Amino acid sequence: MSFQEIGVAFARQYYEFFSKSRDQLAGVYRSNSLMTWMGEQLQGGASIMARFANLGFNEAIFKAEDIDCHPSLSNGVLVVVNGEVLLKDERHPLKFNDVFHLAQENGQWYISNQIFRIVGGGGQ
Amino acid sequence: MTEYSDCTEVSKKALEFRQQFYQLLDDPNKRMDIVNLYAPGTPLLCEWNGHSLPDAASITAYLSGLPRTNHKIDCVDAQPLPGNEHADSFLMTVHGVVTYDNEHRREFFQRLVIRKVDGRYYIINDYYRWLSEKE
Repeated sequence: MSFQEIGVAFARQYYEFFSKSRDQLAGVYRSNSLMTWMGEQLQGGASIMARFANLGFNEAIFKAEDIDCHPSLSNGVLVVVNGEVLLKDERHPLKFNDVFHLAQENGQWYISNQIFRIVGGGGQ
Repeated sequence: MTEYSDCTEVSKKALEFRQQFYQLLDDPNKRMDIVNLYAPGTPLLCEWNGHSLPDAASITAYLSGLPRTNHKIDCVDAQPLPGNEHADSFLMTVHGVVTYDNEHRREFFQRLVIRKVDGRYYIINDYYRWLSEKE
């Protein structure tokens, strides 16, 4: 698979899980994973999943509009996603930017770095 | 395992780099100096609004045709990358609004990979894109 195929497939699956079965995202993080969730720094899969268990919403539909991928020099994949997230009972979606650095461990792709930001939307 | 001090050092380096980068980019007299921030002799991956810029010559040509800019930064995030030692390799994202020729405003997003080579910090991967138009 090319880095593009890996990155796109990974991102699509990620938001599918985020929208429908968030707890299953535990499988894509490791103890060394770093996440910056709207400016908040989290380290390790356990912290990230604990944070996801305490989001201010229960139902959200994530829609990735653009997924751009580059190979990284450490044989990983850099993914930039630009999309929308529609929270239940909200009329206007929020716009988000998400960046992943995917790395491999024992032949399995996981997220070593992730930076997520809401960058607008919400009817403004 | 990434140490807390790596994250602190990365934050510091990222803010320094952000200051340097946009200062050069927005200064008409110093803009071309920005080419020196890109790693020499390393495979470069640079994509600005869909334009692929694989080397210093392409970056120079692209910047020559770019109108005058003024970048207003809303947020900067940065994290050490795997295998880094003492914050010598990090991922950085920037979000803000860019104004062209004091007229046209666009929301922009940029993602950079910075690595220390021979004691200096360089860009080895760069992705810049517009998001929305600003009124």
